[in-house]
Amino acid sequence: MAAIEIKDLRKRYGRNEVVRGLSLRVEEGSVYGLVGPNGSGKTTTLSCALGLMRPTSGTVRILGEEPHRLHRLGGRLAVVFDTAIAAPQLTVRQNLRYLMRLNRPREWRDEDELIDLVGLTELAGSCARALSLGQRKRLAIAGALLGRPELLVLDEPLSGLDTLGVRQCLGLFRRLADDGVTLLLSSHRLHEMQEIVTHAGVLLGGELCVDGPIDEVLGRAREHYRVTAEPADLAREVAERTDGVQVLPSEARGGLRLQLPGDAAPRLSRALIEAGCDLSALEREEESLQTVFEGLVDEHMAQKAKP
Amino acid sequence: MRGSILVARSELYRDLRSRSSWVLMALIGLVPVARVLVWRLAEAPERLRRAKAGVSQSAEELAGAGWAPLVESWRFGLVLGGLALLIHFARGLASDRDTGIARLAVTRSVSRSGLVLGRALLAPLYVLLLVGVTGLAARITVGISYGFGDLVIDGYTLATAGDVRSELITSILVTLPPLVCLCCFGLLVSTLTRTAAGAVALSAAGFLGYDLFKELLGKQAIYVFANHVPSIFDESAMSEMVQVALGYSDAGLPDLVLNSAAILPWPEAALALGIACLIIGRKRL
Repeated sequence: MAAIEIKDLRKRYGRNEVVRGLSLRVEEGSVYGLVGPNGSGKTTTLSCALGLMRPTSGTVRILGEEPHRLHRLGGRLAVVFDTAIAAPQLTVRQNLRYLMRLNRPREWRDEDELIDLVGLTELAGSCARALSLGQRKRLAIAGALLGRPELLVLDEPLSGLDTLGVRQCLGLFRRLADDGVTLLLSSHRLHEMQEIVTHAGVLLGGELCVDGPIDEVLGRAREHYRVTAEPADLAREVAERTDGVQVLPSEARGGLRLQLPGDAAPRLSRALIEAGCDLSALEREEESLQTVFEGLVDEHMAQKAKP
Repeated sequence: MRGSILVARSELYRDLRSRSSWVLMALIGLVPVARVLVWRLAEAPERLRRAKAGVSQSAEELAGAGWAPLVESWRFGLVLGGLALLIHFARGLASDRDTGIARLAVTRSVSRSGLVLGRALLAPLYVLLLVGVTGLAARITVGISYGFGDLVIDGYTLATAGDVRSELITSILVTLPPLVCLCCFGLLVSTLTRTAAGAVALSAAGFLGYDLFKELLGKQAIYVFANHVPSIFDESAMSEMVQVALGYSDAGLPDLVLNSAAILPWPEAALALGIACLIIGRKRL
């Protein structure tokens, strides 16, 4: 059964369509990672799905409820927004008590257990205003877990966290997933996301380019190579002339970034040497959510660049 | 309705545990105290003049001299307290939209209209608290220096203490509905603006602006709730009561004023809340 089901969601601001017919299904018990660059429509999609914004068209069901009736779920859904903190003037413990009064879940988790779970025990009596961004995030997560939700939606849950905080949160998410909580995470932290997601979707330009189990998504990774050769201009020229080789726009770590079928690598290296290039590296990138994402972004940008 | 109660309960918890709420309440309590002190200072030249002339107030006059400073200081506390309430209600919801609490609430337990109505449930409570705090502060401060006997001016008894007390209670009672409506107006403003700062500015500007230009409405102004809220250019029942306590008027409060103040604010508050619910229902949170 689907915890979240979005069908043909569209959102238009004037002439600008920011979400274009997006359909998405998050199965119960899964950990879904929604990734995309800034402006890809992630936040708009989440806002429409959670009833915070009216979509132009399309249907959304969250645990079987329509977005504007999510309050009827009685704590089965919890959401952690990027900056949300209940009351900056109250202490950490008072914030949780405030949220307890604002909710009506079926069952409560003990507030001390939660404070301990998110690593804020020593700060339980501190004013929330004095917390760092990472600590606020953990407080927000604690608040979300108060009512033992079945579905937890987290918008950029790892941003602002230090390495230890990220580790703690990932561990926490893993434990929740093991307990059967469905998680939808929207994040830019692709490396970390890859560790816990069971399903992933890549949003680009308001469209869901890839969507499915993480193994399938990673299987879509085209073979990407990085070539370091001098002179760079000549190397680019040779690469562009070689059959099956596509030069990608991004040059993150210097050199050329190429997409090519596996059998083209020897041909390319031969062509580069024959053309007089000083070839110092031709390395295959590892398949990861990051490479899938980058590949899709490159394709998207290349498509946009076409006249 | 249950969602509204949840909001009211949580807001009450937040306000009670917020230091700024207590500081604000203390400051509002100090307003009547300060007004009484100013009243005493303003009376000093008159007392000196009387002393020089060898004319002193009669015991009866002194016995009832507390009514005027009581009503005036209470009214003054309600003017500033009313403005503080307006700002509190206007800022609250707008601030929760800024910080994301509104989003948390609507995705968990409360409908969008519940966000508005829950806060509105607190309005009568906060108004009673305001009236109580300012009234108590005024009563205690005035009671130190003045008496609350029959109202006697130049040897004539204008009203017995019981009459003045009864008139004062009526004035306070008809001031409650406009103050509740003022809170609802604050909630309406909070749904109209994007930020908490905008809500504060718009609500204060709206209230003070109306006060400045209400004369343009002529006699129709009586049908607007804000006309009955104690304000700087005051036409409320409390303002009328000050005239009574000073002995400038013995006519009491006109029925039209009393009825307008007691009845009209309720449908106006309902209208403001209805519009606020409609707006929040369509607004991005």
